[in-house]
Amino acid sequence: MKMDTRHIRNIGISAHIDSGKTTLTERILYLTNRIHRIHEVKGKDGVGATMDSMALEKERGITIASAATYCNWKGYEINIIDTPGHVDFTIEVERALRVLDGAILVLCSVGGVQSQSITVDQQMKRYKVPCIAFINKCDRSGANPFRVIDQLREKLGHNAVAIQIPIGLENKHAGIIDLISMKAVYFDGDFGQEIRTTEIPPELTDMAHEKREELLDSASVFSDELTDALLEEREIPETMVIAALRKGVLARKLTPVMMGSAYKNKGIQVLMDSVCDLLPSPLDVENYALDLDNEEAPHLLLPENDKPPVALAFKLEDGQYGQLTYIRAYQGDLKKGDTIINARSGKKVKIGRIVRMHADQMEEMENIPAGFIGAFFGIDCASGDTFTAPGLCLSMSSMHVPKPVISLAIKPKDNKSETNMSKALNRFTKEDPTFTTHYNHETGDTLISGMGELHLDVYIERMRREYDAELITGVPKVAYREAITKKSPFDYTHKKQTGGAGQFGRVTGYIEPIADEEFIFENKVTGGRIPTQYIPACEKGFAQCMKKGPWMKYPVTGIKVVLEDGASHAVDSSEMAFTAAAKAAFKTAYAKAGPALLEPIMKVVVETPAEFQGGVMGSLNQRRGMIVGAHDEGVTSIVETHVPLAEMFGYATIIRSLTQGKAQFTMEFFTYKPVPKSIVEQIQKDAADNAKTGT
Amino acid sequence: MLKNMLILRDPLKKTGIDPGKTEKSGFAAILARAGVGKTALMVQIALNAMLKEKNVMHISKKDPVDKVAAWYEEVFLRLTQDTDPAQKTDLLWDELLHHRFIMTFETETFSIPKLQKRILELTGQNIFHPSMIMIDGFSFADTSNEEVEELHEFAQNQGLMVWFTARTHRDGPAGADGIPADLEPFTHLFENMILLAPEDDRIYLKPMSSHEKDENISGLYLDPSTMLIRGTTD
Repeated sequence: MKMDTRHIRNIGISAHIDSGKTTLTERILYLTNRIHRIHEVKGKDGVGATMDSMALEKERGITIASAATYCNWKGYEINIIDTPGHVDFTIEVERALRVLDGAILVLCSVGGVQSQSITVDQQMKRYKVPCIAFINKCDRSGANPFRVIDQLREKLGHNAVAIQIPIGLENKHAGIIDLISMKAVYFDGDFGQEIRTTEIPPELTDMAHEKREELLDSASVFSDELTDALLEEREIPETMVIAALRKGVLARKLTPVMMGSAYKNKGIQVLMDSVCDLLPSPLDVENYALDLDNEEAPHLLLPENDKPPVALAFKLEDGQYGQLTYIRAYQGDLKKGDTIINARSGKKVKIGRIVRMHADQMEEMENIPAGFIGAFFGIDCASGDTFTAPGLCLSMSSMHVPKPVISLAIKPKDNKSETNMSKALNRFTKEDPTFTTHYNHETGDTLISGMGELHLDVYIERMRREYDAELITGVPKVAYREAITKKSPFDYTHKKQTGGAGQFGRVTGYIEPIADEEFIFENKVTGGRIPTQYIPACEKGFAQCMKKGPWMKYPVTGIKVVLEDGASHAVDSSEMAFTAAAKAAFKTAYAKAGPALLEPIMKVVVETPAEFQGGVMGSLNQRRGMIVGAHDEGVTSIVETHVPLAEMFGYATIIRSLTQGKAQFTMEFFTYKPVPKSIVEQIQKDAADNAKTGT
Repeated sequence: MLKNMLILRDPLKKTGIDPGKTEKSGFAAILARAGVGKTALMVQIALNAMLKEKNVMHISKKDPVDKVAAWYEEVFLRLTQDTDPAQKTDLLWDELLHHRFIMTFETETFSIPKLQKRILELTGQNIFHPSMIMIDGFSFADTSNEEVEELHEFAQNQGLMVWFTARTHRDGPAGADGIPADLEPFTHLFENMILLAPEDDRIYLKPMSSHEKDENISGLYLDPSTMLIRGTTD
């Protein structure tokens, strides 16, 4: 592959549901010859009209549902990457977004900036993705692109500036005026494939000049050359305006706005030109890996082919030929036959088949150069794995995988669902290391665990939708932990004489709380008071008690056991006797060590329009949340809190109604902290009630 | 135990800055050139108040929430680094956090009326009742006299002590007592003004308020290696 990296665009198309993302993607693929027939969303069968774009995407199959589809436009290679839009906190979303270098934010000229637009925009901001905007549906009744531009400024805080104006709106929408070239552009032919450029219609000349003034004014902030040219009233070449706009976009300080109608095939080609002209190439974006040899310090990656390769597996797809692993090469050239290392597992992998996905077919490739996207066949890995050249110790994502903090029992409704569920769980656990499953042999339930209620909800929904697995779900349960608060000594003798060989083992020492470690065992026995061969049995006994706390049966954390002395018997001592002694010693010491119940505390960050800040803070405060702080960005406000997970159930619904659906929150595990006494009593009472009713 | 020990050895306890001593409301300022330690001193004054169970709201126009929080953690760790390891510093830290609220603003979005609105929202909903407000990075030059006077009145009505950091310039215009020209019109509103003056290997705290000079402050300095307040008798 000999493509120039400067001519690569890795982009996402983000949109509110129903603003035309599907239609737009379809048109782009058609005009770039990736598909040869256009399927209408609102086809004559009427199926599309009532369905949302996501379901349609699936019905259409691989073109849009692919993790990355590629097409060519005027010598540029454009990879369109599917970005999941439904949740914002899973590792999967983070990975998909970090693969993008730029994005098209699609807005409806009637609906304007809607709640989902706010969500996707916040995601873009969080991952620092530069974007351009496309105001779609200018042919619709009530279309008003200039109102949408105002909303982009007011609601999203973008420095939005029109680089086009429409020629007619609603049913008179005929084309656009390009404010850079100052020409009218019409899109003729059945699918708008024939572009006709003419002079600006006289009735629109004044408006075009006025809007061009605004455009030049905004662009000049990013170019001294353009400012000078404006001041000296020189003629301004198109390339100078484009260069200034590009600078603003790359700095994420300017959002050029285009417009048209994807359904009526208007404005697509000029939008594609802008993708090439204004959005960044992989060379324009700084990507960092984490240096695992250096406490995960950021390490700048250079998109150059002669550097050792670093690549990210950002999506897995199960196809008929096996697992297809989508790869983005950030640094170096990945060639067929090369040996690379999976940074997570440390395993060596030989690159076999490399392919690139088209609409409905695959193209074999010899290599994936730096900055490019491709797919490996037949490589066993998990989503989010980093592949590097041997000798490099870098990872694109943190190796630290937090332990799940919430569990939910699920049960398939029938046999078919059971098979589908296990297929789905197999895939999801591979894709997302924070999502785990465990089969309970006693109840026959499958326990799924993750990082929050929404996290589990999404997977249950995906099992239903993608795998047709009908499930019965239980009540979510918080993963409490037990810990001790003070040092406590033990001295226990296990002695049994019931005929035959007896059992004897004595252990003395103490347990004490420790921070940052789950369990430490220290052997300080001297003089063979406990024979060396029985020490591991003692450790085993103590460690077994950690799994189920003697107080409330939750796992115990943060304990150091120091074994100082003991006694043994020449005939009656055995490994079993010392394990039993250790278990009993632990129980007696534990009761006097001030046991406490710990609960997972989540770091909850809410991004809300500023007018709802007070209400949001109040809702978090009511949930035993400790508000760390609030950051005011003018239009939006970001509230950061630490809230017990047990109080966050159902919060998504609460915040939606509190903020008219305009706020969103992310939640991640922060730490474990003691549960207040009154709540412990309630948990004990609930546990006792459940034990009685057998639930 | 640990809390009492930290309070006892606090060098600020003999000064008029000590929030446990007086229930003053109004304005106070820390003046210094860039990089001398205004934020470090401000955070110590805040921690001192939090130890005495006073609620502190920290406003920053330059740093994000995480960075401000890191300042507090860093200063607290330094304050407790020589204490007995058996003392539960993490428990005290958790307790102190309930007395702190950080509010940060993008520079252009900050305004006095907005700040007042936010404070009233917090107190109205019983979320947080500050008794001290620390404003780091406030520009008197960019704020109208009316707004400053309004904030002063608000502070008095709400019983709040508002601390500001203000940057002095080596060659910039200064009025009487070396007070920066931006602050000159407002000196009558201030209960306390402390100048951080680097001399030899120490950064001395010098009282500057024209109508009330707290001589106890004069004996204090910032140790440049830890930026902690020390008394000259330490």
